[in-house]
Amino acid sequence: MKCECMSSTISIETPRKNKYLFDQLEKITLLSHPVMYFLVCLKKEGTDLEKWIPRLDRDKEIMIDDYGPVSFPDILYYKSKLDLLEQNGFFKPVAPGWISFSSLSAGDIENAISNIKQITLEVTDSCNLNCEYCGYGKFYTNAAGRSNKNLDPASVKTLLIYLKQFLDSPLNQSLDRTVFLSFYGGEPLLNFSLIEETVQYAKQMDLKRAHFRFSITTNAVLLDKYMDFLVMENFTVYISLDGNEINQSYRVYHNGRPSFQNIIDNILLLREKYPGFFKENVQFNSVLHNRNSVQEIYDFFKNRFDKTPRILALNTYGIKEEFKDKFRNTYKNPKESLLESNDYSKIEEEMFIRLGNIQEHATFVFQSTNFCFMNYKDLLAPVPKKVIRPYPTGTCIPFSQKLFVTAKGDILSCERISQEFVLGHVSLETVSLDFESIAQKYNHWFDLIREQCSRCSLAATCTQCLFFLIHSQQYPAKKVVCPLSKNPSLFARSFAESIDYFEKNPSMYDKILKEVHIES
Amino acid sequence: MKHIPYWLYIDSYVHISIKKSGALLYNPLNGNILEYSCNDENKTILSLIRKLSTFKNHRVISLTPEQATQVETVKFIEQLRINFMGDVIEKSASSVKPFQVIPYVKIQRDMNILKKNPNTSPGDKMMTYLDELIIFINNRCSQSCPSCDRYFLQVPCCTAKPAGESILSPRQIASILEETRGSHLDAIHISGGDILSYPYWDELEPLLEKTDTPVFFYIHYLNIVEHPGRLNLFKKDRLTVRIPVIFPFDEEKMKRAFLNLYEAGIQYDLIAIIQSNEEYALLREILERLSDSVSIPGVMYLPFYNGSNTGFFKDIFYVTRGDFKDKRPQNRDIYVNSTLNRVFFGKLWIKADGSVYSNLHSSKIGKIGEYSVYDCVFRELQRGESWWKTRKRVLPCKNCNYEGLCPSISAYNYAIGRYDLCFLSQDN
Repeated sequence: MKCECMSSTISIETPRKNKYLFDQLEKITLLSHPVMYFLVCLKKEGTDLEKWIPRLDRDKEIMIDDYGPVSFPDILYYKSKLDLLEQNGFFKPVAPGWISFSSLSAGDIENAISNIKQITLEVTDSCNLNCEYCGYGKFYTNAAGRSNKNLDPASVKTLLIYLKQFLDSPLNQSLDRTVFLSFYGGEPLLNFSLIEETVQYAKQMDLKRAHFRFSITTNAVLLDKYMDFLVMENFTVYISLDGNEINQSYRVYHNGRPSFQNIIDNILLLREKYPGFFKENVQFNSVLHNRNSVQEIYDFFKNRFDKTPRILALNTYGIKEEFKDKFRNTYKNPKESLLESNDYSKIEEEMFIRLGNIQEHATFVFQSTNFCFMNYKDLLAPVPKKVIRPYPTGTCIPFSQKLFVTAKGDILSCERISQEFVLGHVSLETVSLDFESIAQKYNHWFDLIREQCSRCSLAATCTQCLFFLIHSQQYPAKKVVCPLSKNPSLFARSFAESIDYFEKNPSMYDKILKEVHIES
Repeated sequence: MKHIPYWLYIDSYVHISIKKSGALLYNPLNGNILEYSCNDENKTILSLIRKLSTFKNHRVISLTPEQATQVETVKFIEQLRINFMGDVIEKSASSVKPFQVIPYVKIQRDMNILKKNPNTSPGDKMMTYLDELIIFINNRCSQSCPSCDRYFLQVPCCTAKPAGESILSPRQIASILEETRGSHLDAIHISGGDILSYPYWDELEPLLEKTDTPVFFYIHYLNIVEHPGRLNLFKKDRLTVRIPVIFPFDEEKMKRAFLNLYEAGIQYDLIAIIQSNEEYALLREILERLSDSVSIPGVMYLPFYNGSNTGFFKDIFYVTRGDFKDKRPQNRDIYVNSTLNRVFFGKLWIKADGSVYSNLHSSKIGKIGEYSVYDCVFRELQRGESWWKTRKRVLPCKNCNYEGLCPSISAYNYAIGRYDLCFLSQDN
C-alpha cells in the first residue's frame, strides 16, 4: 500500500535564489546552504541518501546545478546536518490527519460570552445613504431585507442584563476588562435616542469586573447634530469615507445626490470644535473600488487630516449571479492597488498593519514561528507532538470576539457574516441563547469541512471564516469546498512569498514583531 | 576558505548570549556550547558575534574575501560548522542578502503592552494564568517533626505552628474555589497542620464536590494512623493523599498508614524529603522492603537544605556545564526562562490565617477577606515579586551567559541564600 504522506519540512527557493527549509511542526525556518538544499531535494524526489552517498567517488567533486562543484566531505557534512535536523523533529512524515480538531462544547461558548470583548448593536437597518456597493445592497444575496427597522431600547436593556450575569461570573477571567458597546447600522445616528438611552443605562450598570466603552461606525451625515454627545461619552468614532469627491462618489443619498461635501463639512466642524478628540478618537474606514486607489485614499487622508485610514476591500462572497460582471468591474484588489502606488514604500511604512499584505506577512510571522505566543499560558504549554487546533478553519468561537444583534433582535456571532446564521434572539423581555444547540450547529458546520481541513497544509495557520464559505456556496450546504485549501507545493509558494518579502524588506520583520499586537 | 565574498550566518535555532564577560552560543539540537570570554585572543570572533546578533543583521553578515580568509574568522567558521551552529554561503549563490527568521520572544498579551493600550487592562484574562492553589486550612498538629517549620518552605509539605491557632473557614474556602472556577486550575493542594483535625471536616466534602480539579492532601503518616475514620473523604478518582516521608520515621506505623489508605481504596503517593545521599539510599532500601507487603505508589524524592548539607546540594543540585549537554534545554525553555519564573508563575499559597503569597519567601500579597483572589493575582502580575522573577533580574546571574539556560529561581535559592547554585562561574 502506498502511503500518501508528505514531509513536515518544506523546502523553498525565493526568486533571488536563497534557499530555506521550514518545518511545520517545529515551526522553525532555516536558511539552507545550497548543498544541503540539494540533498533535501534529492531526498524529496525519493533518493535514499544512505545508499546514494557511498556510491559517490570520494576523490571527485560533484556538480550541483545553479551552484557548482562540491567536494565529497561537504556532501557528508551537510548530510550530517540533515541527520541532526531529522533527529530533532524535521522531515517527519505528515499523513492526512496530521492535524487534529476538537469539538465545540456549550461550556466553550459560556466561557467565551463571559469574556466577551464587543457587543455590536445594529441600531437601525435604515440608512440615509444608498451606497452602490453596500454589503446589504444589490450585489449581495446575503442582503436580508432592509425594512427601516429600529432596534428596541428595551431589548438592548434585556440583553445587557442577560450579559451581566456572565460578565460578573467567575468565568470572566479578567479584572477591569474593557467591553466595547458598538453602535452600527444602517446609519446608527438615525436612531440616536436608542444610543443615548443605551449609553446612560450601560453607565449605571454596576459590573464587577468589566466596564463599557462606546464606539460608533457612521457615515458622518448627521455628525454635526450629535458630535457633542459622542465627545462627552468619549466614543471611538469610525467614519466611513472613501477619499476625495470622486473617490466618494459611490456613496450617495437616496436621490442620487453626492454626500461628499456634507460629510467633509461635518468632519471639519468636529476637528475645529474638538481637536483633541478628533486626533485621539476618530478613525476612518475607506472601501477600495474602481473609483479610488490606495494611493489616492492615502494622499487624501494624509493631506486633509493627517490620518491613515483602514482600507477595506469589497466583500467578494455571496455575489448575485446577475451582478457578477458589474461587481468585477467595481472591485479593486488592495494588494495590486498598493503596488501601483507611486509612494509604495512610504505608504507601506505608514499604513503598515492597516494593509492586507502586511497583515498576511504578520500572520506568517506569528503563526509560523515557535517564539510567538498568544499569552503566558501558551508560552508555558508543552510543545504538542502533533498540530492541534480547536476547530477546523479560522472561524471564531461564537462570542469570543463579539456578539452582534440585528435591528430585528436576531443574535449572530459577527456583523460580517450572513444573517442566515442566527444563533439566538433578544426580545423585549428575554434573551434566547441555547449554548448547547449553538455548539451542535457549529459542530455540524465544522463537520462540513473537517475532512478537507485535515488534509490541508494551511490548516495549522488558517484564518478563513467558515461562514463566508458556506454562504458563498448556498446555505444550507451539505459539503463546503474551501478555495484556499492548499496542497504542499502551493503552501510552499505562499510561504516563499513572505520570505521573499522579508528578503526585500527585512526591517518590516522587526517592525511587525515589535509593533503589532493581536488582541483577543 | 576561498578568496571570495561570503555570507556568514548563525542558524536561527542557536541561542546567543552576549554579556560583558564574553559570548555564548548554544545549540539546542545537540547541546553543544561555544564560549568566548572577553580577551584579546577572541576579539575578532566576539566582534563577529556582536555584528551577527544585532537585530537588523538578522544573524547574517557579509564577509569580504580578505575577512573570509583571516585566521580568526576561519577558526570561528570552522567552530560554527563543527557544532552545526552556522555556516557560510558564497555570495554568488544568490542575488540578495538571505533573510533569517530570528527568534524574538513575543507574547501578544504582554502585560506591558496591555498596560499601555487604553482599550485593554493588564488584568485581561489574567485568571487563566492561575494554575495551582496551595491552601493551608489549619496550622495545628500533634506530631513533632524535626524541621516542621522549614520543610514546607522548600518542598510541598504540611507545617504546624506551636502557638496561635489559625483556621481557614469553609466559607473562605468556598469563596476561593468559586472565584477560581474560570481558571480551570491544574491542581489544588490542601495542607495543614493536621488537616484531619480540621474542625469543619464535614463541610469540606460538599465544597470539593464543586470543583473537578485534581486535589492533593498533605497528611503526616501518623495522623493517618490516628484518624482512620476521616479518610472516606478521599475516596474519589481526582483526589490524592500525599504523605511526606521524613527521617526519622516509624516503619511499622508508616506501613499501617499505607495499608489504611490502600484498603480504603484511596489514591496516595509519597514526598520523600531527603537531606543526604545516605538518606536517599536508605529510604530507597526501606521502601523496597516495604513494597513486599504493601503497595508503594509514586515517590517524589526532593532534597531539603538543612543549613549544613551544602555538599549534598553541590552533588545533586548545583548546575554544571555538562547538565546542558545532558538535559539539552530547548528554545522554548530558554524563552520561558527569559520571560517568567516557571517555578512560581501561576501559583498562589494561602495560609490558614488567610494571608496570600506568590512564593512563601516573598512578602504577603494580601489577605483573603480583604482581597479577592482576583485582586491577589492582579497584584502579583503588577509587582512580579515571584511570577516575573527571572535570572536576568538578579545578580550574579544577570551577568552570566548561562542565565537563559539555567532553571528558574526556586525556593532552594531562597533557603540557601544565593541564586548561583552552580559551578558555572569561577568562584563556585
